[in-house]
Amino acid sequence: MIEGLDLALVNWSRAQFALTAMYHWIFVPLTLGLGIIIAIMETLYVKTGNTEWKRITKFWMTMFGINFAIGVATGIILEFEFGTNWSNYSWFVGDIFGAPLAIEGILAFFMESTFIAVMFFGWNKVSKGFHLTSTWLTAIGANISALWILVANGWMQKPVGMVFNPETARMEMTSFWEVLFSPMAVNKFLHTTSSAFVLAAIFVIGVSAWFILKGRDIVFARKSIVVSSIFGFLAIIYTIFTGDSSARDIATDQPMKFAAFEGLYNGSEGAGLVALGFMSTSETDPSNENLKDFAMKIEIPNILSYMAFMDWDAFVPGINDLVRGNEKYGIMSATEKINRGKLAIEKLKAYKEAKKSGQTVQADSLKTEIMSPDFQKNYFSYFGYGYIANTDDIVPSVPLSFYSFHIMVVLGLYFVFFFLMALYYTIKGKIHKKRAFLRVAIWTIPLAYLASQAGWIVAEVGRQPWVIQDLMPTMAAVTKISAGAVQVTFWLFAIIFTTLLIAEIKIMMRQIKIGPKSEGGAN
Amino acid sequence: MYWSSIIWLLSWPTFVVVSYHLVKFAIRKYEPILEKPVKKASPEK
Repeated sequence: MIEGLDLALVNWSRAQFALTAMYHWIFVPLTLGLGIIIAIMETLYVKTGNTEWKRITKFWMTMFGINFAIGVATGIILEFEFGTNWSNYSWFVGDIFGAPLAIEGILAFFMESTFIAVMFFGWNKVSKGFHLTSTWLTAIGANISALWILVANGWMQKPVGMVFNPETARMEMTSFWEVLFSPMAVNKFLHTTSSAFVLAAIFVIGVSAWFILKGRDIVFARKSIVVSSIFGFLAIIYTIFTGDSSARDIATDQPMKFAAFEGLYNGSEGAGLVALGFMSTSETDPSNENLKDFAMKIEIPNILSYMAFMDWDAFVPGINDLVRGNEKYGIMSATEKINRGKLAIEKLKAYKEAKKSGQTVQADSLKTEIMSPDFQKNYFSYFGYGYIANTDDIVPSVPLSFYSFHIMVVLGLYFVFFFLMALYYTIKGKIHKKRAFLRVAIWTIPLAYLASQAGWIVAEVGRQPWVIQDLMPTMAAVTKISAGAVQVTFWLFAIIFTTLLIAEIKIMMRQIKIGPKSEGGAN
Repeated sequence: MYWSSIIWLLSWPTFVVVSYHLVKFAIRKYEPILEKPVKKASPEK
């Protein structure tokens, strides 16, 4: 599958997908969170009949609309890239991965796209109740859209509910429900959407802070801050809980990712959590345990063991344990996994050859062996390792994983206090006097985006070299096209996405300067 | 087999409903403060 593979092609394909996904994720979290915030605001309007809430809703709806339109453009490109750049992957697992993506397109995206029209153009044309329902369905549709995408992503992190078909050499789905309700997928959905709510709440508070600093639309801004600071505070607590739950999944199913984002080279019992640390740039070497991993670190004892396994003294494997193996704790070495993976590939090749040459008896015997529970568990589950050349190749970028994870966590803790302060100052009627805080609120908007992007870097860089955990390495998933072609589209997309982002920021800033429009109508 | 995941997934709509009710409670309680006019300070340019 990967003979004569061009590494430049793999790297450029990865860079292009990362670029598209990261740009897409600039627009998506605001859509997910702002949709719910708008729906809450409109519900307050319908329940109270206060037209100030209609004015507030309509302003944030404009922000939602600008963001939604530009987000769709990047999302469509992302889905096409599975076919253009990752066709080996799509071929291998398309039967499974395609299902949630198709449901996302047919059900959730259509639902969202249909009701968004009523939401924007239905004011004064449909009843208040119908309009409110449309707003909620748009918000829920956007989040259900995210559910299906994250189910697909969760499956890549922990493949479940499938069986390998040696006839076609493809993965086939055996249980849709197992894929949908995989704890990895559910946690991923909850953690990702709640973090999107946090980002949207910070966006609303930051923009409202600008209005207060300008001495404009103070009541509008205060009300927007109260809604989003309560929503944001609950969302950040929910994000912390779901993040904790995700960490336990990762410790069990993706121990290398867990070790990488904690910078843990040598595993230990009662492992400590690095609260703050700077990785050693010159002395870190995964193959030499005597060298220092960190130039400086502040560690909280036993917390990592508890976070991973709910046991203060549990053993948390480090990168070295996972590469070299650790007999005491029953951890298989990467070399052994590679050998088992190679054996699985050889058996499959032998089966294909026997079948091709008409040796039916031998082919049937090989098929029975491949499909036996023992072979599936002890050999086929390491199929992807058969493509790994060097044991160190199973280690992702540790500094990138470590710093991204810690940036996300530190900013997450800061957001807890940020929401509490925003709410406290507003309900005490002091927010307009806290000019330093208002400036901080504006600058917290880019920090929310930074935390959000860092989260995805942890999830996606941390799982390398796998595109499907243990079954398919990224290098085997790529489409064999020229690296030059991918390089050209990379720069083309970089220019287009940057232009779209600049356009979005400019249009939004223009709308913010115009501000909320006065409401004269009775509806 | 899937019950724990289903229950965990149901925390999402619960979160949205709880958020709305807490927001509604806070708005009702603090609306007079939120609507109180402020003396116009010199706005920033």
